[in-house]
Amino acid sequence: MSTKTSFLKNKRLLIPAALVVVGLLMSFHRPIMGLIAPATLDLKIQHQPVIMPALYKVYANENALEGKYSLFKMLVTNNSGNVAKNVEVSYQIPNYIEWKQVAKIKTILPGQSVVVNCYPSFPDKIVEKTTTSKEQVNIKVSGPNISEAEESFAIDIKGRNEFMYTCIPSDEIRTSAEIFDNMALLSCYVTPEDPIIKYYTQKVQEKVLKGEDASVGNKEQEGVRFLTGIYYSTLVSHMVYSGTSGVPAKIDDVSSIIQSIRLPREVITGKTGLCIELSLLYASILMDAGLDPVIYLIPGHAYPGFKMNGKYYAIEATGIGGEGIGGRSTPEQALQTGMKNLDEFFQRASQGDDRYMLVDIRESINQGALAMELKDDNFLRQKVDEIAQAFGDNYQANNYNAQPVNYENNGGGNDNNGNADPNGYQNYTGIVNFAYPASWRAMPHNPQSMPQLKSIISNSGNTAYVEIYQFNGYNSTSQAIQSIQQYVSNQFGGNMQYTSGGQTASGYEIISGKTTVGNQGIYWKAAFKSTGNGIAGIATGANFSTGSNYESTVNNIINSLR
Amino acid sequence: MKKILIILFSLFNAYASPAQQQVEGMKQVFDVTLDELGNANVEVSMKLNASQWDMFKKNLGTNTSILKREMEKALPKYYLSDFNYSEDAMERSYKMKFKVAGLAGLNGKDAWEAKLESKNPDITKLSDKEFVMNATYMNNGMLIQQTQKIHLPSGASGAKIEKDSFGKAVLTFTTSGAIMPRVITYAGILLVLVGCWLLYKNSKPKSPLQVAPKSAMAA
Repeated sequence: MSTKTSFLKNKRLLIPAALVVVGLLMSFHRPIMGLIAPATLDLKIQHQPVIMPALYKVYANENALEGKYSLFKMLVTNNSGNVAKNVEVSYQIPNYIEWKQVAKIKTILPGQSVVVNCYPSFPDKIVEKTTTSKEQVNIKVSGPNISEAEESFAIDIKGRNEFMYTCIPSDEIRTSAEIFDNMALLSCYVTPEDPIIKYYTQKVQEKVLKGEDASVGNKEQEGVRFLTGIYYSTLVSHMVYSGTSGVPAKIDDVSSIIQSIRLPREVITGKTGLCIELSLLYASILMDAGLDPVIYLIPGHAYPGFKMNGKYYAIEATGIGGEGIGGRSTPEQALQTGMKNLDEFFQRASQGDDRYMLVDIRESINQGALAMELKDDNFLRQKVDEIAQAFGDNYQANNYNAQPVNYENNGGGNDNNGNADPNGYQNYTGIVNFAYPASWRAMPHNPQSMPQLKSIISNSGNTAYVEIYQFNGYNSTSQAIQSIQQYVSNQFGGNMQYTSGGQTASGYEIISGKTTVGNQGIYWKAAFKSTGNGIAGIATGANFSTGSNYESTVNNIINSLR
Repeated sequence: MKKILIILFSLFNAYASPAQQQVEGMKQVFDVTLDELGNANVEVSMKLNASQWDMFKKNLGTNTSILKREMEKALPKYYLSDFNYSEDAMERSYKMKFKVAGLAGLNGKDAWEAKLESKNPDITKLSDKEFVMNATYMNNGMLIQQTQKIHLPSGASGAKIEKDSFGKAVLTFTTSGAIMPRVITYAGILLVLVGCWLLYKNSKPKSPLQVAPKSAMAA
């Protein structure tokens, strides 16, 4: 009897006990399964070919330049049948960054992939590094129920002065621009916040320019005076042009020139610089003074300038040359050369030559390409003081005031009142030859525009323009005009009306017309003639809103056709 | 996800010169289909007019890998794979498909979330599993009107737009696969509680009043 009672009692307890056991198994199924069969993760890593210390702020910022400069990008895929929980991804670069967690992933389901991007915060001291070293990046993936995985890769950490022009693998390079894909990062070498640069800028403003208000008043003439003032400062301090190393290197599957770039403070105190270094120095000073610096890059060369009110200015900073390499240009000559180069720059760029690149420093900085932190240095300040003594002794800045004004007047073209002065014109030479107001600028070419539209030159407000066309294989002017008409209709839903207006002395057939799109439109004149390959010519006009302001300008352009 | 919208512009943008004012922009439609594991299958399809097709072919030529490269350059944070391009030249249309690994991830609440990388996206919920996001951009003077259709997995529920700590929009939703482990855990806890209660109840000795009649009968 007692045995039966005990059995019944045990039976009554058996079911609840089983429920408890099953419940515990269900509650703790994850750690239990982790002990029995841990999840296995598959790792796929892509990493930077090198680390350039000057870019350490870019590497740290996941929003900089769309985040493309991560130290590594890792695809973590759970290839097992178990859920991976609380997966931690850590990395370490011995001597630079201690073990640091880059991501903690709560859950990775079987078959799921997660992308981890690493944006490392290098210590500021990395900018004191002057030589290249081979370092190791260690990555650890761990978690309570996964098989711990460790990966590592070697990477070159360059010296702070070394700059690699591209990080695109050589077999992926398609255009000239891609050979210089890192050019937006040049702004990392523009150091307006460097105490030494600030000190130097103050000296230029005080001793050379005797005060300036280019950024305050947004005056182009004053900006040009500043530009020539910087040149004058480098000239009288006997700064000279000199080369630095630029060596081709192959790192993994990337081939690039690695250029040694001296920092602006080193250029000032060393009194020597390469074209790109001088450009970075100018950009640093201009930026410190509140202007918008730009650097123009052309094959084998670079020169600085600034933009203001939609206009661009340039100076040939290497005009300082040196007695050993053929003499030195005056500030006027350097400015003239710079502006002449600038014309060629825009012409080439407008023709789609992607070797002609413009680095807008402020734009690059806005994208996160920030300059390195540099400490103040009393010795360097003393050097600046010594250099600045030369400014006072030789100050002749008044002589340089007029030249930029003259340039602007030459280019003025009387945009505001429309009474174009033919003397203020410059020549366009190409598939057609004509003259246009010298202040007008070629607009960047867009390869997706109408294929026959080769170039556009416009005034600063983009209210008046000249378009250069070439219609290969076309037989007549009317065929060309109809082609444009069709394009305007298809592309913009616009309407084009025109009438024939006779011929110029040089054999161009004149067409006058207007194009309307919605409530807006333009009055224009076009001139085309037959060439060996087809039809070529120009269309020039101005928006309705300008009234008759540009009538004489348009006639001058048409009459200048040769 | 917003980034997907703005790629490919350079291959299509038409030039609005000062002489020509555009009235309507180019329209692009993106289909983004998320699977049960947070990966996205993206399909870009466009039908172009004669002029646009000329430009597109002139730029692309026969090297369709340019599209892949442009896409990878535009989305450096993601892993893209399984590219496929097809076109119907007679109809001046093309399709491009590719896969984005891990576009959506599981958050701490076992819900999927996909970052839209925009503070105030123009997004409309069509159903529990479909959203439409509209965006308009100016690119070199050309108006680009884009429509992005987001299709959630068949098992998705509770989809909504939330904000992350930076105020940017985040699309969140749950799937049965994602919440199942939690359901099992909760069910286990419930079983333990029920089992404990039964153990307690059954282990208590029965009261004498209930036992007495049995004794009396036996006597």
